[in-house]
Amino acid sequence: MNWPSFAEIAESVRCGRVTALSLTERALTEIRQHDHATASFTRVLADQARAAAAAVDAQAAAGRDPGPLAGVPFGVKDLFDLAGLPTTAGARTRLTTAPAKRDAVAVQRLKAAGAVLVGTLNMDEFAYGFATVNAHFGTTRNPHDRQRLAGGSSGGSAAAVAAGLVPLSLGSDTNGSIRVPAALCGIWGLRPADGAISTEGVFPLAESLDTAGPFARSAADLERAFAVLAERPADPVATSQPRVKRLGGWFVRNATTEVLAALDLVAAHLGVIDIAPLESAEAARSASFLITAAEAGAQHAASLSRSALDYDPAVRDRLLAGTRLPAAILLRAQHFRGLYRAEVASLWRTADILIAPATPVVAPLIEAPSLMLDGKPAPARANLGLYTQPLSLAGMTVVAAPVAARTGLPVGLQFAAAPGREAMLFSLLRRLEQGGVLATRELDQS
Amino acid sequence: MTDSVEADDIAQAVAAFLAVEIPPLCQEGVRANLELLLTHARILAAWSAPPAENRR
Repeated sequence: MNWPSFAEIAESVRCGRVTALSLTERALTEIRQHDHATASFTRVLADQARAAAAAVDAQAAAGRDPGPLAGVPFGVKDLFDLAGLPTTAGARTRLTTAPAKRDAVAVQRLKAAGAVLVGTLNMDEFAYGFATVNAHFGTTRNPHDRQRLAGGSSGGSAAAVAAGLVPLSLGSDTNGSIRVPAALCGIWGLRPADGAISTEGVFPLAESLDTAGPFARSAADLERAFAVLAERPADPVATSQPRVKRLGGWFVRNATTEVLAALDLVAAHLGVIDIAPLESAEAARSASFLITAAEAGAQHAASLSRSALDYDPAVRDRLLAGTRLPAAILLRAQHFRGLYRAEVASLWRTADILIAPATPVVAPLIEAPSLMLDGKPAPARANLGLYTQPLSLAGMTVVAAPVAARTGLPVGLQFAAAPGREAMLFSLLRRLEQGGVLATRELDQS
Repeated sequence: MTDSVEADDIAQAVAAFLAVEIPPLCQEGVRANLELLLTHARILAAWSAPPAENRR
């Protein structure tokens, strides 16, 4: 279904035109009637949601402002702590772990702003993959073509918003796990700058790279969610005419013609001619890969020593390999990271916003989950983050935005800005959305 | 990661790593993943910093 904007929902709830409870019932009905097609939700928290919605309505009835997200139903990737529930992180073995004592900070902030949690969302086990093919909880399917991947690891979060089950969800992004599924599902996703949104209470993959962020159906909604999650409005210092450059080299190598056409369309609209060199992008991707393997391996070493065979096989073997990575290689990757950040910082002297494809391909088929890299097939699970990983390592703010089109599968672009320059970024994105260049892909109802 | 790591924490971490065995069922998959990591390590080893003029 189509949801009104967050601003419209919150205002309607505040002044009593619509109740949060009715919006919650709509979301629960959507999930009940349609989620069998995408398998995005893992747990639906109907009673809890109804109680929370009633509390929001009570605030409004008492004349108090219930918040900037009042009545907005949302779901969370199943690695955010929720008080009273085990945090599965997509692993069957964790269904029997002790329940979390409190909500993750990001969840607390959405609830405090009046948003209503309706359930948890599917993911690659322990967030280690770009596919949301989960041996325990099933495969989340792309709402635009159910034979195709939704992307991952926050695939449930993206598919639920793309299918219109909820208008808002939370995911995590270590190497691209928000941007990849947002792009493949034709919606908006934000990977915040390092530290901009708290990851407290989020089950870690690789702590030095992990971030948490929202998915939404418009630039304005994404910005409003960011303001709540970061507990601050986007930086008010906005440049009216930001200097935009496109990333070349690594970021177009291996891209398909449909992805390149979408990039050219947006660049032409913006009048972007300059190509920013980021010569170390390939090495940055490799460093991300290595740091993630080492940190994730360390995170799971104790658990693997007890119960390796209980893991999703595709994830287990990656984690086990990470435990064997020599320290010298990790040290080299860490050393590179510092040098690379300096290289990226130099780009911001001549550019305010960098654009690049989010993925090299549109959503791959579930039955043939691969893509072509330099003429050779490579598994999608490990390689859909080809263009997202180098930007993660630099710690910048990146929005994955859907390029407007009526036909074909969704294509998403990355719009990156230096930390703290979110207002400028959102200003540009709103302008492109208003100009019809960027738009959430609506489902084909035919 | 905490800022102050206790000696016991280190001992536990080391013990956990030493205890990680590769079950026979997983050896092929782990080897493939280690080879992939080695590929990335080689890419990183071959990297050299861009010329300074490109970083201004």
